Amino acid sequence: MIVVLVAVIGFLGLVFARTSLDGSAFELADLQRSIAQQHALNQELQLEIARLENPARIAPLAEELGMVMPRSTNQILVDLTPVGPTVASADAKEKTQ
Amino acid sequence: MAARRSARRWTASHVRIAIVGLALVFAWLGMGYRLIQVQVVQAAELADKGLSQRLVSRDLPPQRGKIFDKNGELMALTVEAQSLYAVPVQVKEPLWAAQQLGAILNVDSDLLYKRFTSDKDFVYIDRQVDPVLADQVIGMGITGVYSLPEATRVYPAGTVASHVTGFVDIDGNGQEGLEFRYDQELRGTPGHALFERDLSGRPIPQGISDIVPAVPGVDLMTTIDLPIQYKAQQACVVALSTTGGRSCWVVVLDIQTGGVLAMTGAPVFDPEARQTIDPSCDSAEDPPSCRAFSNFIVRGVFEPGSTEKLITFAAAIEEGEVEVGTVIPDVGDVIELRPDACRSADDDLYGCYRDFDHHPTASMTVADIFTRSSNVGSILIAERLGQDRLVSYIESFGLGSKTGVDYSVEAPGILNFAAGCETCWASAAIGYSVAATPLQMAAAYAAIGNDGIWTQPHIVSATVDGDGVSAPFSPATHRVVSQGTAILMRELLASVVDEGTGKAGQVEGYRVGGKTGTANKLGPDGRYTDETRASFVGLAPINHPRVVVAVVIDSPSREFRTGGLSAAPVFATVMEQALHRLGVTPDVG
Repeated sequence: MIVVLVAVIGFLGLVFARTSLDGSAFELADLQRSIAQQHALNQELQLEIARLENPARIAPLAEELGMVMPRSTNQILVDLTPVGPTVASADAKEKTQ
Repeated sequence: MAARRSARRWTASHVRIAIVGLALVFAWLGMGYRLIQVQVVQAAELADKGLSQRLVSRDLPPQRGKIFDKNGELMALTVEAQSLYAVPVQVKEPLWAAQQLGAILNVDSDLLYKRFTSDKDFVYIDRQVDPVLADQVIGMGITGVYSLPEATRVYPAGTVASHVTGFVDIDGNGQEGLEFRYDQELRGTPGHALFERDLSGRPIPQGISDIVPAVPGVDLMTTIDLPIQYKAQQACVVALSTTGGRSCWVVVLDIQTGGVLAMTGAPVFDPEARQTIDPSCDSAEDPPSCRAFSNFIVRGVFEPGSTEKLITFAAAIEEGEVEVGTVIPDVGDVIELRPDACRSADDDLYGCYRDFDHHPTASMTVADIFTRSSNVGSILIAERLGQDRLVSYIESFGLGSKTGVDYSVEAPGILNFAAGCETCWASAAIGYSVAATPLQMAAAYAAIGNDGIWTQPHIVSATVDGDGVSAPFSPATHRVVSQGTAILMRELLASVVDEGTGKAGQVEGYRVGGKTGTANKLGPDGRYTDETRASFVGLAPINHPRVVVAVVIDSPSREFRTGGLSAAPVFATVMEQALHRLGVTPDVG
């Protein structure tokens, strides 16, 4: 009687395991399909970004907004020579006093 | 008594029961027989039949690689599209269907009607259409009209990068440009899938499954800078309307790396509008549509004219025949290398060479000759050098052989030093008798900018496979002149722009060097015509050169016939943009 019971439980377990496995496989297939769809969507979005970033689209829009290329390039030469006592030298002075 | 019992046992009902019983026995026997036949005798055959119905074998197309510019902007990629097709025998109202679909898809409805009434099993309605549009068509519920997924190649930069990327045909095969040159690498390796499917087409779990995934094509990382490319193309478009030229071409090189920052021209073409492209076009002399398609920078050759004098002077200085300050005596405005070659101003024979402008015979320094672009003076300098050494330098600077740029087709150029040609050396010294591509000329100038080292021009800096593994490209290099000669030549080039024929090539904030070129075109009879190819090749900043720009304008109108008038302004526009884009510090003072 116990042997039969174990066999029945084992059989049911096997069926359950098989069903779960099949369910997971279908889920996996659905996920793979979803990945493919997302990949295609990603490609579409990349394309849209690239088309929006096309200089041939942006440049006329920038001109409409009144933007122009700088006609001259200016340089600001920064004089790096210290003009007064630095914080470090002031500290040193205090310490020596 | 016993007989009565027996007669009672076999009544009619007993007989019926017996018959039913026998029938059941035979039925069970029949089923048993069939069971044995199905499960034992025909088991293998039927299992095979079932499996063949469930098994599906599919090729897995690889994803074609993308093409990027140097900043990671997409220039070409592949996206999913839908192709619409019909089974003609199933289309109930072909005329109505053709009219409806023709209007929606912008396809000739007469053509569609012919297809719908043909005796074929399968006809395309339109290939690689937008999935939303395809859904709209399928949603109309026209019987016999179906769709299937198909990848399509798109070029988001449109006409801007078309001369670089080239294009593919409707089946995705590279036809021109990088698409053709790198077709094998871009297309990848197809995969294969073998699996069992259920009624809804889904793979059966734990069923037979043998999948070899497709290997995607490599991505191309190019040296192209799209904003510079756009500016160069725009400058060319403007130049054509200003000068009336037939075509305009610009190539921009990074001097240190040899990378092509821009390579474009006008007229332009749209790589996605294949119906406007004639693949048979192969010459710059073809109709306008062909000129747009054929990349003259790499595929076309022209006599460079005075821009070639850079090589003549660099060779003479390198060989110690002259110095920048050397005085060449008796430089006139005409020189006759064969008796009576200069019959008249309008009817010169080979062996007669004239300067562009009339001037009195005088002594001129080498620097003056270069700055004023004197043909006569250049020939007198080349005479000291001799043909053999001149040819050697011309070849070393890359003329007469392919640069090795990674493009679909490259012209090697022409060096015409046929035996018996007495004056070819003189012609070559001033840019005739040799034919070069604009790219070859740009690379020659880049060698001067790179302290005398010629670097192989290239468009793709690296390929990246599906695993992200990068394979960088290493260009070939060789020294053509010493660093000292290169520095001297740069100063001569700067003097041309500062005070010579190339003043229109000046760029505000930067000291620029360059050389104008104006070469008459050969006519069908082999004689030079009045039509010219105007060119300008230059580099900047002159002390630490970063960029070379070469411009060629084909057949500008008479008032713009010289390189200084038509090509130099294009050079200045493109060079300014390139220097700004690269963040090159302006010259101080």
